[in-house]
Amino acid sequence: MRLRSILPLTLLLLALNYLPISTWAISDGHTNNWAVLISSSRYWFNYRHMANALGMYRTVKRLGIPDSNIILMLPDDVACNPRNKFPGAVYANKDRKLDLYGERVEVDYRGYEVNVENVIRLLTGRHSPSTPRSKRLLSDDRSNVFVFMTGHGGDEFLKFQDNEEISAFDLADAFAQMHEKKRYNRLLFMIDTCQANTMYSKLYSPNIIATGSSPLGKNSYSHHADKEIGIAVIDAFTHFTLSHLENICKTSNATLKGFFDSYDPVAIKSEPGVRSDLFNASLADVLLTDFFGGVAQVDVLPPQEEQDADDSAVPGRAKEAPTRAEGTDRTPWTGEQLDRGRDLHVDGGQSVKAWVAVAVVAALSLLSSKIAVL
Amino acid sequence: MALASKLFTLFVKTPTARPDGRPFTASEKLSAEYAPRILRRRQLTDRISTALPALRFLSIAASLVWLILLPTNFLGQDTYIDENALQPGGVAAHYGGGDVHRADVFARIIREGFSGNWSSSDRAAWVENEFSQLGYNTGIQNYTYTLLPSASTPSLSGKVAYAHLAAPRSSASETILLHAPWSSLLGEDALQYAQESWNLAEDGHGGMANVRGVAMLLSLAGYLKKYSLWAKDLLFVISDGQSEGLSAFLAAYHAEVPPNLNTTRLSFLPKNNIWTSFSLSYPSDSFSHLGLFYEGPNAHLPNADMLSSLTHIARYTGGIPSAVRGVRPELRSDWALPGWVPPWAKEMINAREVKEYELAARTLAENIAFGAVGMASGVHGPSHLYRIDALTLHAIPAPGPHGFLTLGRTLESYLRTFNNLLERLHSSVFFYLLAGPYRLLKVGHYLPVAVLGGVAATLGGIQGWVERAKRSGGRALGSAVGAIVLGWAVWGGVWETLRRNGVEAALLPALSILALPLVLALLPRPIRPRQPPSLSPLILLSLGLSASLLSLLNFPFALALALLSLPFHLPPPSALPLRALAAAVYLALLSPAGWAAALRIWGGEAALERVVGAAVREWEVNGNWVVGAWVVGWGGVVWAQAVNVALG
Repeated sequence: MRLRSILPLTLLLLALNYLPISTWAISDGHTNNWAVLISSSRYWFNYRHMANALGMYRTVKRLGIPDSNIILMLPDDVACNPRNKFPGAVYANKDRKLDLYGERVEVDYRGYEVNVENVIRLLTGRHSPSTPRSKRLLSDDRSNVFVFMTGHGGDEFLKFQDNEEISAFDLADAFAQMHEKKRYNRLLFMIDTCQANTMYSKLYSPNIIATGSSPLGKNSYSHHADKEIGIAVIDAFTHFTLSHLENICKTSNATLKGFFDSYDPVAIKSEPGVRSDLFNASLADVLLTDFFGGVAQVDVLPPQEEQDADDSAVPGRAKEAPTRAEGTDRTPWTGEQLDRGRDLHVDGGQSVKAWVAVAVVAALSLLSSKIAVL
Repeated sequence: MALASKLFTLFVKTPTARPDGRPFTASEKLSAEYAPRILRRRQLTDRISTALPALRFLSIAASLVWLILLPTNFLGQDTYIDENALQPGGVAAHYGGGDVHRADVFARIIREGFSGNWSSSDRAAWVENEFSQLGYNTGIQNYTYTLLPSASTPSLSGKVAYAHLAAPRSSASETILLHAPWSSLLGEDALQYAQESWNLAEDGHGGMANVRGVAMLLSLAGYLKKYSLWAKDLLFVISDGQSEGLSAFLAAYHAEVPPNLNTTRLSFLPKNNIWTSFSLSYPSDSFSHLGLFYEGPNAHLPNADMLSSLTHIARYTGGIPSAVRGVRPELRSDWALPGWVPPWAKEMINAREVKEYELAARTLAENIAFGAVGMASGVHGPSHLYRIDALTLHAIPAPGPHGFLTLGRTLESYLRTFNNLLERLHSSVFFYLLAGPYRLLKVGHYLPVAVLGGVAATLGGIQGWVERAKRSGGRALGSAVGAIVLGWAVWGGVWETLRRNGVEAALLPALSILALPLVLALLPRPIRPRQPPSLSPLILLSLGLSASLLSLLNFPFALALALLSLPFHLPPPSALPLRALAAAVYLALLSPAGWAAALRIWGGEAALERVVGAAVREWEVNGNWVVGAWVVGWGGVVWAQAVNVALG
């Protein structure tokens, strides 16, 4: 009796796994999400850059990315700045209903640790051995990485701490190294500064989507100021993005294309841009939760003969594909093993084989059920 | 130079043979090689010499035209905020009715004190007590400036009450200084035009008491202490006298006590830099405009951001219009002109543009006048000597509409803006002229006026030098330099005598020195030196140098030098009686001795004593070098010119 009920269920599950439904994002193939949130300016009058980063931090946490997968960089502590009329609190809105610095905020890089060298080391994974895990971007080739940068910028540069700059070329090379070391599956780069769009103009690695708040020669503006705190509390582009993301939850089907189409230059007070030529699929197939959320896909895949030519000692034995359910707890770490990745994508030819397998198994199960009845 | 000489080969032919056709000898060939160059050089210098008078005239004309154009709309721009950290006007101010009530109570007590003739110690003790009740760390400083007899008072002494609040949440390394003197900027003459509603009180020293200025600071102290958002220490200073109280306090604070100051130590150990400061003068009950007195000694100015942020905050947070010094930014009413004036002229004279020009010109002229004597306007002057950006706010009396509430809000917002500073103000300009509360002239807009005058003088000096060199071979350089140095030394001696012993003692030496050029002029011809020293070009050169170099540092002084040096361009007359007359005119009109004599004649002994006393006080107490430069530097130069003219 059991056989009759369980087998069809198993078949159903197997079948659904291989159906080309876009919400399952099989073509995406990411299993974990990372977020790198960088604010690059210090001082009290750059309160809004800290608020930008903290607002984004709260949103990605709400949508499911855990702290261990978020790298938050805040160069200055505005919450405890003596000029803060609300000590210990950072608000991104003048209604002051939501304290972004309230509880369980893990800042990974703080103060003078936020500099160009550390950002590039973080992205490329070249750390000194003493760097703790919380300061490392431990992404792999199944990670969707969301990189958010905010601060003061200009034509192809972003200013760090009033002291140094990171250029668009540096960033492009860092992303290229990430691609070579298979440190991302897809990458969404969002930047909110003046002339932000120039910052992604030099990228050349595949599978990157980039969006910025204003084009060359144009400024980006703050959204509004709080009269009690005395300065601007959030930037217009980030405010727009966060408001949009506030309306979605973990199970949302909202796509990146829908988000980009909703850009309103009047509300954002500048002309935001999108760069998707490096991205080889359609933006309509990319969910917002693919980058902003921590929605993970768990697959148990069938054996893949052609990829494991050296493991043919026992023919027919299925090599168990490593499951990457959460992507967080890794096996004991040694420096070299961290960046190992496996290419386990499923392409068109294999899905035909999968359907044939389903049909065969279905026929066999029908036969077996008939036999069981008999 | 090589290019120029090459160009001139087009105009000068190189001779290849003697005029009579015979070929050159060896030495003649050598001369022939150099002759064209010498000829070219002579031609070049001749061309420049012939052009020099025209260039001088053009420079002077351009300088005067530019001076006339300064108050127009062609020059200048709107005031702007350059330092991003300031964020002026971004804060909602909460100074409210309760604080106004407390301020009113303080004002009543202060007015009663002044009408009861309370002494300096009484009021210092009272205000110190009030601050300490509010929870501040307080103290009283006794100071005495010992002045030289010429300064018309032997000493300036008084008490300064101060209160210090450490930044609550951090160990700040900067301090904001809030200062109010017991005497406001209004003098005795204010009683003549004061209105009843102003409710002024006399301070017993010939001025109007700063009743509400002190009350405002007391009320602010109580209000500001409630907030813990101060990143900088606050220092409240209530001082006697005009600016000498603040001067004594700052000297004790920075531990740079000059020898003529005797002061007690401060009750707390100053460890912070004072970056910004303002002084408040608010004598009447209500006011209409907030006057900005921003000039410091020696034409020092605070960073323009200080003024811009104040006018911005006063306008948008307090709703208070600003004014430059006491000049209300209102256009004059139409003049009633007599009937014979044609209507088109009447229209032109009463046109809006002309009135605006007059207002801007008056504003600029006052600024230039202060700077030309190196005097600070207001009471904040001593701050500039310690690189503190400071200004004095004077509430211009009126029946209304502003009072404690709007001023309190404005000052609260102003302090919040200073609180945001991370570095000393450095972004905006330090050299500027204000043509109006919202109109700024940057250095490039006004500097050429003085520099062109200096250029004209320098060109005149060069031309005179070249001519003299042609005539006399330039042998008299040593005696010329000696004459000017002698003039400076002599006038330096006069100045020292004046400072130490007063006007009477300096009179005889000054007169005898002044008489020398006239004596020289009247000497019969055989006794006079044969070769007169070529002073005139050297004088012009030195004037041109001073005007051009000082034009950035102290533009009004350089402008005055450039304008007063215009008569020096005139060639001295050659006939004997005219020479003596010209020398006498120089001495009477242009030299400081002549000015002193004129003042004595028209103003009386008292006026001369007062002016000389003020000048000496400025030198002794306020660090003003311009007055010394006028007496010694300018006096010496004019005297040398008189000698030059006398000798012909």
